[in-house]
Amino acid sequence: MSETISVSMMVNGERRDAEVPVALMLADFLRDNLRLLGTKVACDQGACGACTVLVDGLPTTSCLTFAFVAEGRDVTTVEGVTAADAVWDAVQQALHEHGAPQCGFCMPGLVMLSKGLSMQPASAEAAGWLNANICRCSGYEVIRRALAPWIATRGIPA
Amino acid sequence: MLQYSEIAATRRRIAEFQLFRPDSIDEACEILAEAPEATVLHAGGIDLVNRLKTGYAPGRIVALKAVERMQDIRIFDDRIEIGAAASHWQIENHAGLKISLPMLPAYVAGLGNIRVRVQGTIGGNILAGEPVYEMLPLLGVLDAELTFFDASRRSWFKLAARDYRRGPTAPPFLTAITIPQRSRSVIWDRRLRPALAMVLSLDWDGDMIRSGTAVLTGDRGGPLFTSLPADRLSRSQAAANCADIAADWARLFPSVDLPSGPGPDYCRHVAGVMLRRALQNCLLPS
Amino acid sequence: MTLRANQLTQVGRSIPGVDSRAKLSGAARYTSDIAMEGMLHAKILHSTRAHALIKSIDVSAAQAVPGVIAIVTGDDLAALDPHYGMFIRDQPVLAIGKVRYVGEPVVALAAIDEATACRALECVRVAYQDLQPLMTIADALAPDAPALFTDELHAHALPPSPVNSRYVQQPSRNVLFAYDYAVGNADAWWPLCDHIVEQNFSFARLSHYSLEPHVCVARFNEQGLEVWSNNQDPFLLQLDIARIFRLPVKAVRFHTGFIGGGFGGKSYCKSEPIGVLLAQKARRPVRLALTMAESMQTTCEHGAQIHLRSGVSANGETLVREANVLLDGGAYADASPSVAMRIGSRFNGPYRWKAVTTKVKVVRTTTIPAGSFRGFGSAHVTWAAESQMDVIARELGIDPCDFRRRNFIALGDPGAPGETPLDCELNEGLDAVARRIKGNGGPRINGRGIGFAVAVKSGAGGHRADARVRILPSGSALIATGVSEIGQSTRTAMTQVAAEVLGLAPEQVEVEEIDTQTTPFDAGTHASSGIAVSGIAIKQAAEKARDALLAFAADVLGCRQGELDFRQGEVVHGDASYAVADLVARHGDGAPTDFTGEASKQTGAGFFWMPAWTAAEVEVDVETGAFTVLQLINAAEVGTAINPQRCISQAEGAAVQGLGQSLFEEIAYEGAVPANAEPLKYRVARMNDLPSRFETVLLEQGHGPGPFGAKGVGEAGNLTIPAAIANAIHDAVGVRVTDLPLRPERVLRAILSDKIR
Ligand SMILES: Cc1cc2nc3c(=O)[nH]c(=O)nc-3n(C[C@H](O)[C@H](O)[C@H](O)COP(=O)(O)OP(=O)(O)OC[C@H]3O[C@@H](n4cnc5c(N)ncnc54)[C@H](O)[C@@H]3O)c2cc1C
Repeated sequence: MSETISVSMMVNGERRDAEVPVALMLADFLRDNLRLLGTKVACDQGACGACTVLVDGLPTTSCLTFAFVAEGRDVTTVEGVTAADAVWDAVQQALHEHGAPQCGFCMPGLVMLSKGLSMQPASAEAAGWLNANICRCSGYEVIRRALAPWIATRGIPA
Repeated sequence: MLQYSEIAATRRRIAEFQLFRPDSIDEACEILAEAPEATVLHAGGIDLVNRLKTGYAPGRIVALKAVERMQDIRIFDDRIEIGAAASHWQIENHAGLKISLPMLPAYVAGLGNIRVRVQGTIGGNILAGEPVYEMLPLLGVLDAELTFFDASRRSWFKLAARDYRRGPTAPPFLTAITIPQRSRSVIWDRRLRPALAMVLSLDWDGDMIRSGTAVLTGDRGGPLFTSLPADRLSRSQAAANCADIAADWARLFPSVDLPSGPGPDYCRHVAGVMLRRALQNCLLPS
Repeated sequence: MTLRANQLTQVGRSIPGVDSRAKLSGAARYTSDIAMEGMLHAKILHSTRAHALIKSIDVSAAQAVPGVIAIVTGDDLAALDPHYGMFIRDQPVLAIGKVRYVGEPVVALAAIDEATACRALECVRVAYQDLQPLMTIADALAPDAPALFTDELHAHALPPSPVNSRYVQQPSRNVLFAYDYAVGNADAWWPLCDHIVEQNFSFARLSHYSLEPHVCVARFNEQGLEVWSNNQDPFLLQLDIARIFRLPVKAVRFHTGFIGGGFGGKSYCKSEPIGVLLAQKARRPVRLALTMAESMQTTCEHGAQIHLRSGVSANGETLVREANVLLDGGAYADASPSVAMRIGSRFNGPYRWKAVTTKVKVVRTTTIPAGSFRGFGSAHVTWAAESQMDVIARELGIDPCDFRRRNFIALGDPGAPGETPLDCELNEGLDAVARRIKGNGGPRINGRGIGFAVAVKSGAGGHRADARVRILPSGSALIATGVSEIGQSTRTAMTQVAAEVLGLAPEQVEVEEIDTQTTPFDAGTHASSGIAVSGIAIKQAAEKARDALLAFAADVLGCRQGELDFRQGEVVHGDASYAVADLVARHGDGAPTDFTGEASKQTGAGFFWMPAWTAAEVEVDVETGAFTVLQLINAAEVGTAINPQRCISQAEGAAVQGLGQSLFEEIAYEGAVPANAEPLKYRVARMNDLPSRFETVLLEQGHGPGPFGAKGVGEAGNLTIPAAIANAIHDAVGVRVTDLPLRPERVLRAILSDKIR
């Protein structure tokens, strides 16, 4: 019998309770249990950030975070950002208009990383913030340009 | 010799374990003492989880997340106490630290990336035992003291950060880090990381250097601490001898050669340059 | 009817990618997202030895683990045709009796979940008898080196030698392939040179580092085999899998969705047969998802040693050049012979030479097999050749840009006899980057320097692509090609081409998913062929579909076809317009359900040239050898930009890969073990590595052979970066670094001229 544990957390604004293996990663809880396939797992080592989700508003490497760590906390995935309002989120819109996605595999993680930045009132290290995730295709320049308003103001644009 | 694992590391490979979630330090100590050999701590989990993915299966895991006391950062007149489970993010954003020891939040804000800093803890950084991780060397030059609980002996002990080295077995339980408050200048150079990084701290007594410590660390070894050759140098004495002092220090850097690495001679040469520049930075009027 | 540039409405627009919203919202589905009823999960046991005989494999304990359904080893390959490789089939699906690199798949098993599969693999015991590892080119060529292959080679038809060349397969021990190229009479020209420069260069073994690792799901059913994979070349893989498993090609069906990065790493057969083998044995669907580290140990870019000698006249005319290249091919052939041919015939670069001779050897070593990689050999060539061009210019005292301009091949000139005439004008790009990097000029700053590099790479040689366009009764169109969407924006570009021809908005064009059973054939998503070759096929297919519709409409409306046009999804006749559905309804019984056009495009040896120009500015710390790239200005030339923004993105992305290759990328070995072939340890460029000034100039000279004058762009932008940076370092501090990556200690060593190790 495998060791299980009950977890309860808010995912994209909905309360989720489940009995899961203790060793289950948050990324797999989201993908396998909740079928939220937007979150991607790429490097499986915490290097690339493709699996980034927000936990209590801060970017979190879901392939390095046990599901039980999110107990009682507020988790947001790319589906949550997309569905939050009927309108497209501002960071997604900016990335879209600047043509940021190439293969797209890093994009859900990058959207969440950027969303986390946009929610920061004033971060001193905005450019450093976006350095967290790897995009092997785009050369970053489009991303840098798309997110310039957030980097420049270090906060939510008016 | 580098070992190659015939089964690729993956989160799917993590063996099941018994999970403990104490909410006090005492409770954590009790759990550890029940089976010291088979129990490991999970702070932020970055290094632990990556290790579990390679097949390492300790059996019992104690998550420190709920021990709020271990995330405390407290500022006293003579010292600063940081709970071992404080995250990098908490340290870099701590209002009191920004006033009392501003170099620490500034340094920490440059570590890794935002994901690592949100998840990773200062204790995990120290106890992961990775030579490239910077908290142990940094705390060493700040003359910090580490407070440990030895679960097998059920006893508490303190150790200077400078003297701690993680061995191959699970480390003792680190609960807090104490940094003395002093008048000091701290300068660092991380530009050549991971090959080499350097921190220099000079403690001042008026215009005299009471003591000075430098540390070199890199992916080929370290941390390597050295003290200024003589105590109580005057600013001008030290300034006049920057190059010699730096060269003496640099020679002590250990010689470890890795493929594709820069080689020991390069490290020694550049260590000398970094130290000289740091000394000049501290000592010479700009 | 041909459209002139000023009449174009869809081509030339920088619309966001047609799949951009899906990718940004997480709705885009990749192969790694596929799950199906009853699906098993596979895991691989890799060799821990570089070179060893397999004495025994004991899987009994693994077999006994509950939840394990099938285990396969080299013994399970007996009934198959078990080797693969692009031209030389030498790589077994699983090791057969012998392993040849650390990481080689030895055993694979399928279980109810990955955790069970991992646990079961831990119970497998493999006994090896070690043989001598051959970790480097020197090891493999040593007189007493053992032969990595002792048995017959599994070769099949190699292509005819490209012009001016000849090749030999396995000319000597541990040499997989040798390729010689010669134009002109080198012996006659060397004595006439006033100045000769000779240097050795090295190029590092690189990782593709695609974020989505190799993954496939395979299942057998009554019709045969069905596979979902993220391979770049579904049609080639279909043929390979059919051959390996002795199945009729028709019984093998491949599906390809979005692919999370490729860069060549997902070209040609890789781990897919292992998944298929397990599905066959388990009689259940099997998912084989490698980890990114496993992917990095599946294939890589060739490390190389290049000896280059060039002779010029006193006034700076390029006369004769000789290159000797040793490529580290790793343990198996993969695409190495083909890469060797490209390298061998590309040392002319963008210049006129009286004579060029090249000898390339692919050396087998007990390391990760090297295969296709963005640039397909041109990165190696450009690194050495453009570094040396700079050295020559400096020694002659000629401005490096002037020296290049003096010798550029002219537009329309083949450069060397038999080559494809150059379809771009090289001065424009060099002028553009030179002008921009210098800005307002200003005094020279100590420790700073500027360097240039230029390259041309051939694209889409020997490629075939088919396409189909269907106009539906709704007036919208469905288009189908076998080019996989790997980030290059093929769906967007093809949509714009079809929309242009059909007078539709991009939203009215939909791209079909790739399914080898229904999708028209494509020779593979490589060699930057997509827009130029498939784009032509799509354009022609769209024209045919429109003609079919208009012929039908003319019939229904009782007019001549020439009086009709198709615009915005409706058939237009004078002032009247008709919905397609209405025309179909008017026709009544027997009306077609759609209007289909099909077309095919086959190219010859070379189809177009992709040029790249780079100007870099660096600042060097002379005491540590560390340097900062302050500016990186690149230019790309795409004939006609179907979507300028997507073209710039290709160039930028390639340039940043080139930046990583310049600064830190290298798979290093420690003994027999790859020391950093895993994501956390292999350093790739991140956002903060970008120079503060990073610009891309997009040129459209209009000579591309593709639709509306387009050509490919994907593989050029990385080529010039390392040499431009090395040249800038030379300009800054007067020293030459000839090994990649340009690590600080190499720069410092050059500065201190070997005083320190
Ligand atoms: C991409 C990346 C970049 C990084 N960059 C940098 C960098 O630039 N500079 C740098 O210094 N570091 C860097 N790091 C390291 C990072 O700071 C550490 O991984 C992190 O701090 C570890 O903390 P954790 O709480 O997650 O550790 P955990 O994984 O929870 O713990 C690590 C180890 O310490 C043990 N442990 C944890 N807490 C205690 C305790 N209180 N008592 C006893 N044992 C304990 C655990 O059992 C485990 O063995 C980087 C890491 C990554 C992944």
